[in-house]
Amino acid sequence: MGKRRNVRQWALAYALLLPSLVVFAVFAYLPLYRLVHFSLYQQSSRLGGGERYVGFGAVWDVLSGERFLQGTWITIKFLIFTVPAGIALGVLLAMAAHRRLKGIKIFQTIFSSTVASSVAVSSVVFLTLVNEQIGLLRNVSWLSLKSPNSALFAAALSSVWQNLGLTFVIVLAALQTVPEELLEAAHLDGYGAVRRFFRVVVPLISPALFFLAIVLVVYGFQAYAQIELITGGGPLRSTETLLYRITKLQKNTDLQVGASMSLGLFGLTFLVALVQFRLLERRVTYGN
Amino acid sequence: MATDAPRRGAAIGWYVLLSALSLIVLFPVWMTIARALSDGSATLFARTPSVLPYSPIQWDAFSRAFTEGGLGRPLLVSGLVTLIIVAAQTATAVGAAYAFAFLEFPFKRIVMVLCAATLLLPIEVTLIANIQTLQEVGLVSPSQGFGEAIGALTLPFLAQAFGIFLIRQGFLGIPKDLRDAAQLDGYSDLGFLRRVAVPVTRPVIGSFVLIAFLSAYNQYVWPRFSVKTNRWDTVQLALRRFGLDNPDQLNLGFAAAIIAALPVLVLLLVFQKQLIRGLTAGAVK
Amino acid sequence: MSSVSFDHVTKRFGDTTAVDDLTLEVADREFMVLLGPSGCGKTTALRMIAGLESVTEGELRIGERRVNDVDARDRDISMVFQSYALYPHMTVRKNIESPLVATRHARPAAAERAARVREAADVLDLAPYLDRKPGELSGGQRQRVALARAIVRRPQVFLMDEPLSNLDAKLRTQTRLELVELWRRLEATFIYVTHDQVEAMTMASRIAVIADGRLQQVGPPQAVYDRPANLFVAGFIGSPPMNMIAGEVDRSPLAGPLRVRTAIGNIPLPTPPTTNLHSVVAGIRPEHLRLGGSDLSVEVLNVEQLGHERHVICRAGDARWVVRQAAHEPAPAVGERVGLGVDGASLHLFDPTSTERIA
Repeated sequence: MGKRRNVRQWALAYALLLPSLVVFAVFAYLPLYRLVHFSLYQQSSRLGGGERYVGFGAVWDVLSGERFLQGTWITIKFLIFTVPAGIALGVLLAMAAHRRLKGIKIFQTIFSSTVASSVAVSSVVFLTLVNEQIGLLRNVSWLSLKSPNSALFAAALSSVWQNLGLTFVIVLAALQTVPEELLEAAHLDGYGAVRRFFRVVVPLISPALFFLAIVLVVYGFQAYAQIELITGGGPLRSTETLLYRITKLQKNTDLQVGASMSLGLFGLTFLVALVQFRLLERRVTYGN
Repeated sequence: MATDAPRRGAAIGWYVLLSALSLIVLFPVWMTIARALSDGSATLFARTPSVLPYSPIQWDAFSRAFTEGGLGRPLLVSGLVTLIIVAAQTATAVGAAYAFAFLEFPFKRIVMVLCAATLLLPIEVTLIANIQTLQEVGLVSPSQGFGEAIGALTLPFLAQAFGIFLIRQGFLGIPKDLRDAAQLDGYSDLGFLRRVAVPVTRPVIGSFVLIAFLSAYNQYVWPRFSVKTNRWDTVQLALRRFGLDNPDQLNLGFAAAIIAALPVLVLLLVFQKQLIRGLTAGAVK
Repeated sequence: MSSVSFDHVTKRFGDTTAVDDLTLEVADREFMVLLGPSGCGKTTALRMIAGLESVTEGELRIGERRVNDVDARDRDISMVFQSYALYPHMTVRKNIESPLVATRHARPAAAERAARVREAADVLDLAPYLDRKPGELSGGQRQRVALARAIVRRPQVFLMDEPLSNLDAKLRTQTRLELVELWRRLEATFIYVTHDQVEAMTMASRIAVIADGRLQQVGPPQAVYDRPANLFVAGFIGSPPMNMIAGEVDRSPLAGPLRVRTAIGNIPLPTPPTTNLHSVVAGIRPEHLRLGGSDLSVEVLNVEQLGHERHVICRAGDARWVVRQAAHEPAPAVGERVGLGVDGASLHLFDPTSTERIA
């Protein structure tokens, strides 16, 4: 109502948004710009020692190079180890704990408890199991940190455990939205427990499972502490994920490579978000 | 699924299964406690691995984590950093959410898209550029002091898009009649925000506070590269201090891991409902 | 207290016109009911008075003051919402006090505020509930809290948007009475929006019937009922609704007395109509039809017993008619063909093209 009121509203809106916009500008958009810049210019070894334009060709060289592709492949293997297993275990725990029993809350609390542990904490916790000198399971060959084939799996296992709480909580919340009448009707229609699960329950909770998959993929892209604390990237660099490699490339002379790989990681994140958005769009209509 | 009180035998069967699953979930925690109680050298040189603590059992690992491991200081740093991040994120998110939910202003859509797009730019992606920037302004350096370290640890997280959109959704749930009534009652925009919108959406904001706490306190990657001296280690970073090369303090590391998880565990037990609502926001309508 | 006037007021939302050239004077201390079907623009008109919607064209005045550009907070009016719009996190006391606290004009002192809250609570029998939250109250009690919040600021004008529609039938009847008593007691201007003609008939000093954003008729309830201005008002006011049928005015002197010819018989006209139209729509209220007459012939489809009276549903050409019958009269049998007598003096005639009243 009235021009003066409009102007006041604009001013208030931007005043309220200002702190967030400043943070986003400085810590999201400026670094994105700088990543592009760093990837196109080779810095000299001294700080402020000038830079040399190397162009998109150099970015392409990095992104098609062994370092990036190897890191991407290891990251993808990490996702293969963590995402399906995480979802399956979450569903298992949630199915077991979604019932009316005395004291079920206690079990639900236990299952969700790993939410409390950080990546670093769960990595230390898993040292007691997989460390090659003190781990309880150090002689189990498929968990061995000494072999390139199993070390990543051991690190991934700690992630699966750490994420159990979250996956359980999300699947349980989804199960609680499934109307019981629907299951009773399926039961009356003659569906057995297994078919009831796959034909009725899974389709109904699939949006939550999908959300979970996206979250776990994003977490996988961000995996770092597991690698540093459990495998140290070894043996033979076999557990050096993309992010782990990027963090090793912070010296001036490495910035061009590090920035290019960061943009590669951004591209992968973007792809996942795109998939998520396309699928979400189908079922969520945006509020005004 | 949530079937009515099953028959006795079935119930016992479920209890057995649930207990077995609980044991599996908690087993790594038990192992950590067992190793925290074991003498470091005993752990290191045990010929056959055991699920029990190795003798001689050391009960003092938790106190030594503070006295010898110096865990107190990182806990304080973590506490301060977490407090600043949670308070700032909540304040900035409430403000921005209010603007997006209730105010009309030029370029609103573009600004909203720009905010949402930052979700695609997690700190891991922008890590090396951000560290570079903070190095250039002197916040990240081997000689960083208290102010510089706290600044480096908190500045990138003073605002965050997830909270803005979560709280905006909460604000949009306020009935239009209530907003109209408040306008007729005479509330200004800020009055409505403070006296009506925030109190009414307290559950949503509460969930967000818990989530913000969890992610701020549990961070690893950003502190790992923005703190260049162990004087300003957060708790999560301090967990690196206890290595195999010092058998004498090996068990302190496991004790420290448990101590590090305790604050969040307490929050989880006290605010279970709100925390779960926050964690599942987006997954379940 | 104050009058409210709409002077050629139009409200458009994009391409749709919600209120179309509305001119209406609400007198000081009047109980004006804006009546119409949902989506007719009555609520938009009310919200314009409140300042919750802007005026696209025309002038809106409260008292002598033009308020088109006056902020809602400065208009000195109260509004009761359909949903009551109580603050769920505040106690009843804080809810009632809210307009006194939030105002940006002279804020009464705490003691005065407390006294006024007390007074409003007493008027509405809310004293025992002052420290409860709205969630702990019944629907009727919440409705009274909303009223108390409205009266506590002693405004010039009270606006009410379907305030009774969330109450059950019994409570609604009771609250109607209480609202009228409140209105008398406050000696204030009430503007009340509803789609329920019973509420309009029972409470209003005057009714303004609105349809499609346009004012159809304004007048005291009985006058609107007795002389509906057009076909819409005729069909909308009255329950069961007025019976309608298309017909032709028979003016030929050879045909005998003046009458309206219809598909189901002839309706006698006591006086010649004031137009020379040939085609008309005839309307007769259910209580003005008499079973056993000989003017019209219809078939009985159903008989509804209401205890104190009876509704006989008939097939009259393509239409369903309702005849009101006293309970003590003999009921017709379903399927029977019966004759209906019409009192020509109670006949309503409308122009089928303009839909306006002829006589």
